[in-house]
Amino acid sequence: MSFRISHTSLRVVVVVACAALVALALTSQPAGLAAPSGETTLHARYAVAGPVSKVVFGAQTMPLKFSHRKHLERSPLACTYCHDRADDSVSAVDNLLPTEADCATCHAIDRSKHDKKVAPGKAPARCLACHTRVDPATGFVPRMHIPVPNLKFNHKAHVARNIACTTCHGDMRTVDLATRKQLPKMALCLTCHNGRKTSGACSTCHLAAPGGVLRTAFVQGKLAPSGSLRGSAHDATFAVSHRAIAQSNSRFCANCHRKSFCANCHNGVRKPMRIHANDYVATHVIDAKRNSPNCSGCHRIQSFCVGCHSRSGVVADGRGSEFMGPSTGMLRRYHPVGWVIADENGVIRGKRGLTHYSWAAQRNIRQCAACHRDEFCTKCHSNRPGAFARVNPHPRNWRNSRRCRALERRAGRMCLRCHITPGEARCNYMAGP
Amino acid sequence: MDSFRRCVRTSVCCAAVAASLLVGARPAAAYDFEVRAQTIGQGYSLRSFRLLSADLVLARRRFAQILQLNLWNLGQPRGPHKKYTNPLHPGPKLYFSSYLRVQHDFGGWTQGHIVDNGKLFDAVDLVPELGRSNLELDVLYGYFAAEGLLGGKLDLYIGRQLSVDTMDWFSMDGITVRVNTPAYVSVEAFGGLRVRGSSPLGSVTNEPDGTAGALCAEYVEGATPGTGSWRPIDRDIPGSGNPFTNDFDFCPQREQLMPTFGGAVETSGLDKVWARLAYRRSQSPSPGVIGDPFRYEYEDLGYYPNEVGQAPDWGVNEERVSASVRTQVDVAGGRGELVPYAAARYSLLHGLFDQAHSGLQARYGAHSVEGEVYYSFPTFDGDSIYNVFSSEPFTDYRITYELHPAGADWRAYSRGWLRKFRSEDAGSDDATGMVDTNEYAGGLQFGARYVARRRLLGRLDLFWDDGYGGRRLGGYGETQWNVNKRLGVAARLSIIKMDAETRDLAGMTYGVQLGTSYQVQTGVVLHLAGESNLNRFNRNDYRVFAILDLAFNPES
Repeated sequence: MSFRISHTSLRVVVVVACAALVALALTSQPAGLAAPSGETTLHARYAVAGPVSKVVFGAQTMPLKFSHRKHLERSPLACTYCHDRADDSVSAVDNLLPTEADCATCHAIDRSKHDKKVAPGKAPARCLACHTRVDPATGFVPRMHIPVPNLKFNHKAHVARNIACTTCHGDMRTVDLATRKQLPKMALCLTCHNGRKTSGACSTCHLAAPGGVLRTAFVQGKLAPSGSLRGSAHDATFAVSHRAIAQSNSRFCANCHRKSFCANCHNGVRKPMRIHANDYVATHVIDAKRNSPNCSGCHRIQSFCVGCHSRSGVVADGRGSEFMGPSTGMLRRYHPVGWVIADENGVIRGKRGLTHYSWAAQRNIRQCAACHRDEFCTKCHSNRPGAFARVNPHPRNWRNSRRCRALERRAGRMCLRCHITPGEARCNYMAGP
Repeated sequence: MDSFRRCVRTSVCCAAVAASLLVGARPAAAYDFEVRAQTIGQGYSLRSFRLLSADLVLARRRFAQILQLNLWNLGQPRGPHKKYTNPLHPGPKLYFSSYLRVQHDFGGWTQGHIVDNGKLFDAVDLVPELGRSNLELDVLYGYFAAEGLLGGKLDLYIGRQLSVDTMDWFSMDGITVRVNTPAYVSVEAFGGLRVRGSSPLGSVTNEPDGTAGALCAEYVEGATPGTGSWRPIDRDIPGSGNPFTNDFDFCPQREQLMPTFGGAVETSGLDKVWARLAYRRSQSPSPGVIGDPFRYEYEDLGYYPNEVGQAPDWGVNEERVSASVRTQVDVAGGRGELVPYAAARYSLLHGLFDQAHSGLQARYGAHSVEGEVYYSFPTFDGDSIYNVFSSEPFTDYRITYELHPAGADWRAYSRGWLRKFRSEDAGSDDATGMVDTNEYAGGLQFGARYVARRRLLGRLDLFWDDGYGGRRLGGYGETQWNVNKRLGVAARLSIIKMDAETRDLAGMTYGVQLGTSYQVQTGVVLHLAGESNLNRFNRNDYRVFAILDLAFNPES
């Protein structure tokens, strides 16, 4: 029976598919309805998964001893008391950190007196109260370095929607020095930026080329999915395992990759070095026999493989090849004795042995197709006049099978390549009386 | 047909040049554009095996020119895009995207000759597949797109499209319409002509597989009518002296147009669930009357025997229904994710499931484990005779572990796989040792990658696999060093021990690659690489690669 879905492995497929559907039912809800239980927990919820991207938010240098916790314990200041430009900021390149002038509203800073004393109960004014070091001679303190994030971000638009600072930055009452940990992760952004509640396009926040394709190369490194989105982490094996993610929705890949990115490998003119590394011409035979990785993903076997094998003379197809098949008894041949059991006159001699080619064809017929043009098979396996051996090539239980009927109904002309009378080209045909 | 194709190529080249000039003449502020041109040169040799004399070493001197042109923001419905750090304007997105490629092989591999039965033939006449390296001009895609029409409800694509469908991809000259409904689904419909090798400027790679063109022959008349003979076509003589109109008349099935249509339904806007159900059908007419030769003892009026009308007018080349679903579940309070997925494809042409793939990826912190099951039953173009020889599927079981500590400069992986081939002789032993009777193949891989300060990369991959096909043990070592902002160098070393069924290939193979990339200026990069291999056959196998990569991506 040609209908193979009952195979054990396919049961696994079905079980996993069911699991996926159950998960779908349990977890899915229309975008935009996923409400966090509390604004401050939203940041905390996504912060546990790990740090933010080093490429988006580059490594920071903050030689400070500032404590948000202590400041907020002293008085419930609004965030904008210090970050007074945040409300109106429309770009991620804006510097929203408080300046010395902002601090000076409480701290009586005097640069000429780096060890300035203040009355008890007053905010300290010495440099080392906030800075980690100070040069006593010059009064210089180590500079902060916070790279501009590789993002588009409009604080003003978010504030206008009454999104509290704590939603994205967390509860600062428990934080001393704010670091990259207080920056939002993408998963948090996606609770609103999901295409329904508001724009879900990647280029809404990520830097993009004019066509909307994301920029992925930055001084800080290459931007790539971490895995929190559809399990699409571009890990070390992603080059050979990306099929599953691509087949679910290719438009997802198109956010970062143009079609040329795919075409350069899957229909390219030069070998991708990491897939077909050194000396692949010599070593490809093992991959090709197994069809692992799938050669058809990039090569049309009956064009690319056949053409090359034919030109290199390894195909006994009468095109200048000196390898005339297994029956020549020559030292160099590609198939063992017993590969074919018909003699030169097309008469079957003996039984099919373990070295017969049919076993190889059953395992991976694509390896046959890599050398032999499809016409080659019908030299023997054909019922037409003049065919070599007229050996029936059909799998077991072919007659009247679902597979035969499907092929007959849709591609009946293919049957005519071997069966030239109308009657024998039918699935219900039975030879002999 | 060759002259027609040459004519088409020339016309399209002229049109492309004219279009480029027109485009270049327009004010830059009208749209955003990107141009990328890659000039690729490759030189190496391949062996042509001889039985009675020394093997021939044939040169490949390949040249390829790739031109990618993208025109964004056509008509400026969104207004000019001032700077990439600004948000994109809302509204329709109109653009044109194309990929054009010319390739040619100057070496003897393609341009040489083959002696067959004492007669000298051009290699390309005996092996027509080599024609793909003989002044070949392809347009891999070239389409106009209008996305976000009618307030985001409609997307439209017209032209040559390269589409990734569930479990495969295809190329088509036609139109695709996608409607984004408010009911969390997008509905897609498409129709056109499937791109095949015989399509104008078409690449053969995306044509359904399983049919060849090498038995194309021409009838060369003899001294008196009826005394001629069939012989391989001579592409330099357009059909003179034979009863047909041109050289390709006796292999016309792959010259037929292949109308293709289909549709898909896809989830859209659901949180963490992505699913797609797709249908596609490609079909082609049966070639008509080609003359009056007698191929068999029957009088034959067409490509197929049709004396009593048994040849159908049309045949289906491909008809598939496919579905995929993928979802994501956050676990452990957001510290990890589970990503189950499944996909299957049913071939209506063959009456069976020909592919299925499912898996589960579990990610927790720095650790990721993914198990997969993949099932494949070989199927081919409806015109391929391999459809009736294909009788058994195979199943893969794979498991991959990835380790990528947050913030660390290194990552590592291990991967195992087992492939079970179904066959009638499962478990047999071959006493002769001449044939591989394994019904299993499997292997293990380990690897690690380290990046030091984004300037120095090292990677090591070790592998072992065994079973059907042969045994292989070895590894690759790779390093890249960015000397400065302009210059980078790389090297790759391979050592592999092979034990293949083809005894001639058994043994060690060593390979080394050295390469460098130099940024001449912004948008101009030159890549050079050399490869040397040493194996049982080739003591001195050298390859050189050079790429001049020009990218112009101005911001208006």
